[in-house]
Amino acid sequence: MNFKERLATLSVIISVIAVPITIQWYHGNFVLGGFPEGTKVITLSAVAKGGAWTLDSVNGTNYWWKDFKPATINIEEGDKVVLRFVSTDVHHRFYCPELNIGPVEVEPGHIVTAEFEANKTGTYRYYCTAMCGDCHFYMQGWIVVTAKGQTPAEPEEIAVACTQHYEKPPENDMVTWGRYLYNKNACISCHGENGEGGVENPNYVKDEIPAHDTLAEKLWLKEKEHVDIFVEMLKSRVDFEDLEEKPDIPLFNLVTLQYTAAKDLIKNGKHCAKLDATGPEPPLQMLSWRAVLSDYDIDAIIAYLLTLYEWEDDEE
Amino acid sequence: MDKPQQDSTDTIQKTVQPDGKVKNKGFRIDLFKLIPLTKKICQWRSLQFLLVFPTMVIFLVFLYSGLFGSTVGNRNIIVIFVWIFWWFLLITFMVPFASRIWCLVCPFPFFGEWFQRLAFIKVRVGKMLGMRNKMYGLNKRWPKFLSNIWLQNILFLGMCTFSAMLLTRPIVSVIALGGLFFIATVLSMIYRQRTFCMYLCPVGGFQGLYAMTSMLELRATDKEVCRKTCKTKNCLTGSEKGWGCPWFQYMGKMERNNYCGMCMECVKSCPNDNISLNVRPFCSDTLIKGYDEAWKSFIMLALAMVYSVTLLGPYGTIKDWANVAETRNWKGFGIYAAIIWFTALVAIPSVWALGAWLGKVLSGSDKVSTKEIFIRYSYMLVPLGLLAWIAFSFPLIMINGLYIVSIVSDPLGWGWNLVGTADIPWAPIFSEYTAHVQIPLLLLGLFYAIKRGYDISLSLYQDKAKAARSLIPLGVVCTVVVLAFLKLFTG
Amino acid sequence: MKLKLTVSCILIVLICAIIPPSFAGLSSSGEKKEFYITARQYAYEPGKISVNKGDEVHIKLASLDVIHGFFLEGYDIDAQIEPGVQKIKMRHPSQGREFTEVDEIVFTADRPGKFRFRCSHTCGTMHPFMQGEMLVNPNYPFLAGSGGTVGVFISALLTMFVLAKKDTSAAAEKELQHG
Repeated sequence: MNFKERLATLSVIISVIAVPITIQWYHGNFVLGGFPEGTKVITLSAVAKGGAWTLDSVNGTNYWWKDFKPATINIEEGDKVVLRFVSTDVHHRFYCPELNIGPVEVEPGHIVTAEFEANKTGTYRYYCTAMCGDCHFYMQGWIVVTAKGQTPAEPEEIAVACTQHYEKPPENDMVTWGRYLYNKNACISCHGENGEGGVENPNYVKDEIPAHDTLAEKLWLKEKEHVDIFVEMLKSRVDFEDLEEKPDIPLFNLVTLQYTAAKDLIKNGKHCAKLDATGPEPPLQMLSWRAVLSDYDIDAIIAYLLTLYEWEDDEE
Repeated sequence: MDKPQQDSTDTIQKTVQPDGKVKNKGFRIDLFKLIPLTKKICQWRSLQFLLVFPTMVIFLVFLYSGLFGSTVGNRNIIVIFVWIFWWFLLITFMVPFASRIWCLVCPFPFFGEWFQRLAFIKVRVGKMLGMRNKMYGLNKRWPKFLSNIWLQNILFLGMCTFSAMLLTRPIVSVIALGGLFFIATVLSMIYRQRTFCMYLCPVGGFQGLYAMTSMLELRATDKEVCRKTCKTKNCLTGSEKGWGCPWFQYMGKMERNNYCGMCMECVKSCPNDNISLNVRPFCSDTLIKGYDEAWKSFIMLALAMVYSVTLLGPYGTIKDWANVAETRNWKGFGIYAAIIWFTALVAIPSVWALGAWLGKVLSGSDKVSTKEIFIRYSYMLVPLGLLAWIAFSFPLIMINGLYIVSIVSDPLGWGWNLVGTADIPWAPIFSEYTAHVQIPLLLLGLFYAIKRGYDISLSLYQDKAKAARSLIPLGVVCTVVVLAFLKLFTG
Repeated sequence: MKLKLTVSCILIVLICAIIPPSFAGLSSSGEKKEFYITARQYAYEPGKISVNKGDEVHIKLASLDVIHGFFLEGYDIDAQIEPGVQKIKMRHPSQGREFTEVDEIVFTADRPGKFRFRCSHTCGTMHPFMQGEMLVNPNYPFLAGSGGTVGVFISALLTMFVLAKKDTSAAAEKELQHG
């Protein structure tokens, strides 16, 4: 009787201690240790909230309160690297075009790996290219490859970070509403806070994302009054195809043509053409917004972009 | 199909006692006599330890996984194995076929019970509190006014209000299950025996109620032996062979499954070899005692309905209300919580009270009070509720079944592949036949509700016509409830 | 007596279960039905669609936030919807795991009943509960089930009153004999 009791007590104590140890031991030896000798295993966890690929271990103890920051991955030249991708919430897609990694589909519950050899030094930007929520467009970071024995270079900061909270203005104030949508839907992450564009898009024909603060010009609206008239027309929801009298804007046919083209581009998205046809797909693509934005919403964004144009002072 | 099985009189002794209690009806097959080995096993002192110990270890793995495993609910063992797999097994097999067998293997009171006994296997002999066992801890009595299942009802309802979070986030499951585990341990040090399990455990509450339907029971073989021969009441007070009943049950008087935790101590301690493990017809205990148990049946029914709308329905707004941790829509959550609590505590009971009163009027007799009809007939919602819950749980397993298979290989969502099933693609299992499973279950529930309702009414009224008339309004209520479930599930 | 009662009860339930489905006629059939369903974190909009048996169903899909799936049970259809991408990736799960790109999902609604479409692509916490419903009329299982439910109630009534009547007539006979 007493022997049984002692055995029982002993097995309880041992198992309480053994459970975590066994789990960690198995993970360390058979899962993380399952890669060939000499490889550097890096686990990257994707977090949609805040938009980050992080090196932190994301689990129940920290997911709900911690702000995860996009990781800068430091690698020495010549390292053989295995990247393990973990999704902590939704479907993500890892893409680092300049290092030829990916796009890797990262589904929740399935850990995927990508191997690469870092044989050229430099800083390389990586992205998430599957829409993963409000912070998707901010989900970028750097892989820094440094020559052996040198201190890794500090990469430039990725300008804007995801702030999810924008004050929601009344919908009928068209220009403010457009500005809100432009910010909230993260258009600013590529097109710039004031439509200045200029974000680098590797292997894109134009190299950089074009500016949109000159949209007024592209729409053939050459005077500030013309923009004002056109925005008023957008506000009053006129049907451009069935106008009773044309407004006082020169070349108005061209204006409507360009306006329709711009609107279609937002609705349907645009595939960014490659600069080098054999090279990787440019990571930043114009998505189709027709499901998310209504006609009014798109007009509001166009109206907002039109007001961004910096007019030269007439009085001079 | 739902064949109305008529009791054939020769196998069934229906004893209606003067006080209106229905006793020992239907056939009983004593498993201990049929297969003597089962008795040997149940008398084996190490049995409970050998059953609880593995569940305990698995539970620790669950907690560890909830804390450090994947944050994706459907890829973490604690969520899928507890809320899908265990729940399905519990409600579909354990409770209807084996009573509160879960309480035998439940890990929650594992350490608490050890603190009381300072033993996993052996029995300590001594003298205290009228018992023949020596127990440790403070051994306080649970306050009299709390010695019912009201607290359990409220706690359960409270926990279920947060179900959308509980069922989807590993960390919330850790907090809830770990919290219950902790409370059970602490309370066991303060209060006597299985006080936590009887009066607080949210799982225990509905298990107790639905165990009344169970096809398995532990009972005294002959109650006369208990009353006349037995002077020591070892089942209650313990002996050197077994601990006194942790659930404070005396086999000479135990007539219902509600508060029997199937721990098998009485099988060990009974000096007269007077314990039977009986197989019996479905829904054999029919006596609801008191408002607390009646309300439990209302709460369970309300939750089955609310969950069918929230979790199995196509309504995004309601899902957003329930999922407050993500949407932060506290106003919506307030509405959602209010609907749950109002339906469970006010709406269904009011309808039931109205039906009971109408039944009394229709019966044309003042012999039985509305209160008695209200409480006794609420048993109808036990088979009905249980089968509605089973009907609700079938799609859960059909939808999430393959998650169970893949999680076996990767319990923590860490990229393991233990048995090679980690990467099988998800697909529902025969879910297009959900309706074909659910409809017979619901019809069976209604059949048993009305059949047992009629048995109860016969025990209350001598006159069969009066009995039948008193049952009609609540029979209509049950029929409407089943139609509502049909509409939700298949319409 | 007992046997007679049991048999008639079963008959009542069966008849009640058969009547409603047999009276449910087709209001139309073979029509082209078009739906535009948007998916967002944890619901479809519209969440309920209704067609008639034989209709040709066209479903266009779009996601508003993250990548979602669309698994239509009973019709062997599984799709993946990526926000901002207008093409849908679709496959027939019984025919392999490869997706093909399509503009819309097209199928003939040849199985009556209620079928759920649910997210097949983990999309966040409430993912396992993200689902919508497609009703293909006439909904035979529901009609039969409701009929059967009413049948159970009617047969219960019948049994109770037959038993009561038998009781009273027995009592009356007894009284007669004593008298």
